[in-house]
Amino acid sequence: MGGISIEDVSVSYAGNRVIERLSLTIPNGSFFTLLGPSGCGKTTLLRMLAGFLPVESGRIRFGETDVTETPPHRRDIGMVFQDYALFPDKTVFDNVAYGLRARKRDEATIRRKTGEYLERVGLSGFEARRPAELSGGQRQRVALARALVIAPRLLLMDEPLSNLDAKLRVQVRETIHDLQRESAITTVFVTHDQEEALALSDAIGLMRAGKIEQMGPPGEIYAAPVSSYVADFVGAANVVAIRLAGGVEAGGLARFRLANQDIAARAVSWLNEGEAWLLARPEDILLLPTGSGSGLAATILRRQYLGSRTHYRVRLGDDGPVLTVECTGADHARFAPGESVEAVLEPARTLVAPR
Amino acid sequence: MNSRAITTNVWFWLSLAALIVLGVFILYPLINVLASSFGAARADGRSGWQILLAEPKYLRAVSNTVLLGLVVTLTTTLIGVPLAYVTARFRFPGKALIAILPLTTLIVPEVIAAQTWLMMLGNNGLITRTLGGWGIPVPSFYGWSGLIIVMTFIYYTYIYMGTLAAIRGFDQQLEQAAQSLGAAPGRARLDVMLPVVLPAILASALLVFTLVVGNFAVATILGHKVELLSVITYQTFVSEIGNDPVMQSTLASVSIGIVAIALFVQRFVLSRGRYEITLGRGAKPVDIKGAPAFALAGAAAVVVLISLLPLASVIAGAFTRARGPVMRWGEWTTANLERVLINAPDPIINTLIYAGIATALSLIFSTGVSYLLVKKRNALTPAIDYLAALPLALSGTVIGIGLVMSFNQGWLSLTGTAAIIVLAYLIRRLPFGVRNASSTLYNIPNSIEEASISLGVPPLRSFVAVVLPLMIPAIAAAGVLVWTTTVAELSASIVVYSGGRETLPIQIFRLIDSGLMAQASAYGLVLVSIILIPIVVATTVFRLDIFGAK
Repeated sequence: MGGISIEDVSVSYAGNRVIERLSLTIPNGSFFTLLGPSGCGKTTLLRMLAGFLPVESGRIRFGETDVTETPPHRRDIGMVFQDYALFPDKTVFDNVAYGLRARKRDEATIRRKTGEYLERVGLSGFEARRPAELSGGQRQRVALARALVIAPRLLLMDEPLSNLDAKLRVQVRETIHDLQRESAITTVFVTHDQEEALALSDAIGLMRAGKIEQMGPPGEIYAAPVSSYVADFVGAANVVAIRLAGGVEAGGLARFRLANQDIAARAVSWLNEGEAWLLARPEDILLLPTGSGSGLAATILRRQYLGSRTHYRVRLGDDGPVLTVECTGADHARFAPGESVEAVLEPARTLVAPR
Repeated sequence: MNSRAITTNVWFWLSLAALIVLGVFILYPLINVLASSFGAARADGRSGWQILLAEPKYLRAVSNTVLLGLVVTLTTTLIGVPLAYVTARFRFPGKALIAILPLTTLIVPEVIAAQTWLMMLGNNGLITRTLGGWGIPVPSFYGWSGLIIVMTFIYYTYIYMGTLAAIRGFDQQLEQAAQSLGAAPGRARLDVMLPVVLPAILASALLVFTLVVGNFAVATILGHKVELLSVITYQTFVSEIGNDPVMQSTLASVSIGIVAIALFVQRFVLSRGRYEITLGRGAKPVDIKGAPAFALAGAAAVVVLISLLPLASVIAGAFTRARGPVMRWGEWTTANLERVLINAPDPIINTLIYAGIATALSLIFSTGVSYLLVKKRNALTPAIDYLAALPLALSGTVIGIGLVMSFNQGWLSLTGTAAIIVLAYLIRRLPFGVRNASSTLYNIPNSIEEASISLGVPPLRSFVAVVLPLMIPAIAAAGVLVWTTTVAELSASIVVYSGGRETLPIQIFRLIDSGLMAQASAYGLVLVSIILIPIVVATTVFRLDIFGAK
């Protein structure tokens, strides 16, 4: 019951099939993020939900209502754009009131609601300003208030933070998070930034070439990627080509040789013998001084000191693969380039995915 | 059929309507002109092309026209490019004067420029007679010398403005990068700046070439014994009225061909070095002092003074007593102005009415067409784009001849009406209006319109509520420019007009032809005022950036 459902939808753009038979359900009130690199179809999917792009086949439902044929202005959506899309000739107040006026609310309601939402985004007192007199962060807050004040059935956000600098991005991100949780408006958020996705979402749909590669809560996407693509896109991952001697069932331990040493890792899915990927996150690899006896022999190639942590480039064995390792905690910068160490890849936190 | 398909279709049908209008009024006349040049309807059975090749007069006209085009393109480049460079990069005394240069070309119509130069340097000219009185012989101003000098000083501002914009947009960091890599400053400038600025220079040079080839006013008034295509085409048109329009269309086709070849050459040259030009922070002008500053200021002052000469002469001429063709310089009177304002104001009234209607229609049509071109692309819009730009390659004479040939009789008979003059105005200024409105629309992101739609306002109302208000300043600025160039239009309107429908430029042209310079000046002064007043009001009262819109 309820929620937004996309059923078996295909979209073509300029002759290319951009979305291929995609199905997806977004529960009511949840914050759903479409994550992926540019060109993966995430913005296309968002614009299709808004109604700006026609679907080729399939249905879109908002709750019980089929909106596949509904034009955008009758879909009852709120939309936040990458470039804010504020009306430059209108004041902040008129921008926020625009949707209420289109809905023919009475002037008193418009005044009250607009004031209320401007206060929520921390812009009380800015009513008479024009967009040009606001900073980027303030503009995006106005855009957010404008989209939310109409209490839309669905809130769509197209990379709303990507034009902001790093510090503002975190601030506006918090505003978005708070407002969405308060209002419980179903939200679809498009980004290529995995940190935003992890920080904001109830669920993430990771897209690749017009399809959803993996869908799930942030923790699951991060800890249990189903493929090397997901592992590499969400959080950095070392991806190493390996050969399995035998097949493994999903969740079972795969055993193989790496840099002439035996090692085990968890299989993300059912695997045949043969070629596979080893996935290991830099922060999941442990470096120990030589002689600890529990890890693979390795040599430090390069060290980057980053204050709270240190990044190492480490070669396994004499001519094995080179991995990135992130060390935190006390003495994280203690290894010097050229030093021999041991690298521990814990089987539970190391994954093997099909090639 | 779902509602989205219907809204898509609205734009499609509008595009189709625009395409039909453009097809009827631009393509159909053009095809008529080209087609009848191949007709062999003359008494002797030769086609226009056979006659063209057989008669040396015509071939001379073609080669003279091309030669004049090349020479003036060169001279305008030699003045325009250095002037733009100096203006962009240096500060020197009197520099502010240069800023008014683009204005002079705009406010002094070609016909007045030609006339005032004659008043100074023609056989009866003020300077000619004064110098002659001192025993200094002045060579004849008619023919090549007059053509080149007058056209150079009319058209160099196009090169100047095009180059100036490019140099100002040129990222100084590129130049500094070249210097940091060991290139000497002068060398660095040449190596790095020239390739970036060159496309702009080439584009404005082509524009000048096209304008010279199509120029009618100066060519007719000063050409004298130098046969030129536009003059011969017009003369043939006048003598062929009622006869077979073979020769006029052949000659018109030749001038279309010359411009087409020039366009092709420009495309070819530009396509060989295709790179993206990122506009960056232009260099700040540097102060120069001492002798070089005086030299620069002096050279710039000469250019500015010569450019202002027509304006000064037309004012002086309007208030100078005249007996027939003889100007009595030094004797002042207001009789000329009284005469044109009170006794014979028809050309003024005609100009105001025709140009007013044309400007209003032009703004509406070009805004609509641009909206289709920029925001609602469909299968038909590329064709609309081409057709709307086509008049750029056609001289006024050609457009006029095409209209007369196509709408002389039959289902849409316009000859002898005011409508055909308005139509000629509309077609000539259409590419300008569309380009202007398009560039404004490109600067308005789609997201603004989509934001309005997403908030529940239907597409058409969204356009009116959020897009149109953003376009108003640009439309108003374009309106002023369309107005100024329309009231000055001569070469197409003189072909299509009929008795009693003279406009100011036509009347001035006829008076020059009869040698009545004082009256011509009086009308000229009225015309300059009609051009200047809207510009002044728009820039000072409404603070519109008219030249930014260009």
